[in-house]
Amino acid sequence: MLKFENVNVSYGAVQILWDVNFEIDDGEIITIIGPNGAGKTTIAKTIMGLFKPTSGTIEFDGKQIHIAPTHQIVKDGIALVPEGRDLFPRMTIMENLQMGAHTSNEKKETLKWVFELFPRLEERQKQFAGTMSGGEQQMLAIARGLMSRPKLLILDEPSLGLSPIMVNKVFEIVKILKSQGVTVLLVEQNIHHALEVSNRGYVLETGRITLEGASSELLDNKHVKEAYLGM
Amino acid sequence: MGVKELVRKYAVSPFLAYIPLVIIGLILPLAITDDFFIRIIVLTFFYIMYSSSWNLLAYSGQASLGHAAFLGIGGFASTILIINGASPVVGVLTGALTASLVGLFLGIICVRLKEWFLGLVTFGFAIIMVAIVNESSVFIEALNGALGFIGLSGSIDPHIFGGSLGIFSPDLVPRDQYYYLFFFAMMATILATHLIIKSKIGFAFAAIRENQIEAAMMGVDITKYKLIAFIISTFIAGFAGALFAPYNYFINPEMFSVHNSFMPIIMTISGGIGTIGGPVIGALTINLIWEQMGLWGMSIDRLLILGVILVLEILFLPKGLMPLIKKVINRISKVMGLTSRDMPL
Repeated sequence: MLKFENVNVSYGAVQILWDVNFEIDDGEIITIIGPNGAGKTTIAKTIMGLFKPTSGTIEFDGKQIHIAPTHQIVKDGIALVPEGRDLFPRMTIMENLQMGAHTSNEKKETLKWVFELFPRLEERQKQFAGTMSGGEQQMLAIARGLMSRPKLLILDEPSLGLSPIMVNKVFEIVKILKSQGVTVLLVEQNIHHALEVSNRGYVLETGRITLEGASSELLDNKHVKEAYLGM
Repeated sequence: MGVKELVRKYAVSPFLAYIPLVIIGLILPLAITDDFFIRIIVLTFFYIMYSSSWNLLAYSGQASLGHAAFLGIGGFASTILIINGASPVVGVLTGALTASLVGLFLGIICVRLKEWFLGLVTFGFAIIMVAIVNESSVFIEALNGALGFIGLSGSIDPHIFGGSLGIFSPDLVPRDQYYYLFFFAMMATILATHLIIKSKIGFAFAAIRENQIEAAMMGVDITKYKLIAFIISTFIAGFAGALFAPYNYFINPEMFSVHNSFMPIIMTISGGIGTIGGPVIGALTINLIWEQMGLWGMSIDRLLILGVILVLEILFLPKGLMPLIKKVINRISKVMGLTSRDMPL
C-alpha cells in the first residue's frame, strides 16, 4: 500500500532521513519506533507532503505521492493524527469532526461509526475542542482523522503526555481499528505497547532504519530490549 | 442525536431569525417618512453589505487593508458601462464581476502572504488604484467628464448620468425607491454569507484561518480556498460599490480612499469579527453614531471620536457587540421559558 524507497529528507542543510526504506501492506498495523530526534515525526510529515524528499520515492496505492500537495494526499486516502493533537481549539467537537470530513462524501455514516468508537464525543459535540482534557483531545484527534475515511491512518505519538489509563484507551482503539481492517502506521515512543498491537515494526535511529521485523521478534530482540525496554 | 435533529439545529433554526428582520425591513419605510432618515438607513444597508464582504475575507484569515479598491472598481466599472449605454443590471453585475476578477488576481499575489504583509499589499493596491483613476485620461473620457465634478459636491447636477441610467435614473425613480433595492441586496448578501460560512467552504475558510498546516492535513486546498474567499468577498464589495455609485448620483476617486478601506474594518470589529451578525450590528451602530455626529455639526473631527470608540472597544469589547447581544437574547429566552439556544446570527 505505502512504500518508501531510498527516501532522503533534509531541513535546510541538515539531513534527517537517510535512505529510508519501508513498506506497509493492506490491513497491517506497522509501527516505527525509535528515540527522540530519530526522525519519526519527519517520516509522518513527509508522507503528508509537508516535507519533500531530496531524493527517493514514496508510493501509495501505485501513485507517486512525494510530489503531490498535502490536500491531494489526503484525498488519496491518508490521514495523519499529528503529534500534540493540533485540533482547532476554537471550534466545537462537531465542527472539528466536520472539518475532518472535508474530503469525504459519506459524512453521516462516518459520523455514526466514529461516535460508536468514541461515545464520549457524541455527548459533548457542542463543547469547544480547546476545553477538553488531553486524553479527550487525543480521542477527538483520532476521530477527526477517521472522518476522512482514510485507507491509511498515521498516528504520531498518540500516547504522548497521556495518563496511563488514557494510553491504554488509545491502544484499545488501535486494536479495534485493526479488527475492522483499517491500516495504521503507528509512530511511537511507547515501544512496549506499540509492538504489542502491531504486526511489524521498524526501528529508526538517527534517521536510518536499523532494524525491522515482526513485532513479536522485535520484542525479543536483544538490542531493542536493552536500548528501549530497559531489560 | 439523530441527523435530522442536527440539521434542525445547524441549518433550519438560524434562518428563522431572518423573519423579524425582513418584516422590520419591509415596513420601515412605511413608518418613517423622513427622507433624510431613509437615506441614512440606505447608507447603513450599503455599509452592511460592504462590511460583510470584508468580514468574509477576514473569516478565511485574510485581512485586507485596501478593500476600497474593489468597492471603487465595482463602482467605476458599472458606472462607465451604464453611462455608455449598458442596462443597469448588466452594468452592476459586470461591475461586481470586474471587481471579483481583479480580486482574483490580487488574491493570486497574496496567497503566500500573511498578516501585515497581506495588509500592506492590499493597502498599497488601493492607493495605486487612486493614482490610476486620478491620472488616467481613459477614465475621465469614459465617464464623459463626470470626474470633472470632483469636489463640487455642493453643485453636483443630479443628472450627470443622464437618463441612460434606467432604473437608477433620478428621473424615473425617486431616491427612496433605492431603499428596497438596497434592502434586498443587503438581505441577499447576509444570506449568502450565512450559507457560505455554514457550508464546506466556510469550514475550509475557518480551518485556514485557525491553522494552515492543519487545514491542509484535513484535505483543504489552501490556495484554492484562499482565492475563493477573495473572489466572493471582492464580488460583494464590487456589487456594493456598483449600487452605491448611482445612488450617490456621482462618483469620484474618493471611493478608493483609505477612509473607505478602514470603515468596514472598524464596523466589523465593532460588531464582532468572524460572525454573520457582526458586520450588521457594527455597520448599524457605527454609521448611526457617525451620522449623528454629522447632525451635531462635526465633520473631520468625527474620525477622532471614532478612533476613541475603536480603542475603547478593543480594550473592553475585543469580540465586538455580538457576544453582548447573544448574552441578552439568551437571558430573555431563558426568562420567557424558551430553551436556551445560542443566537443563530
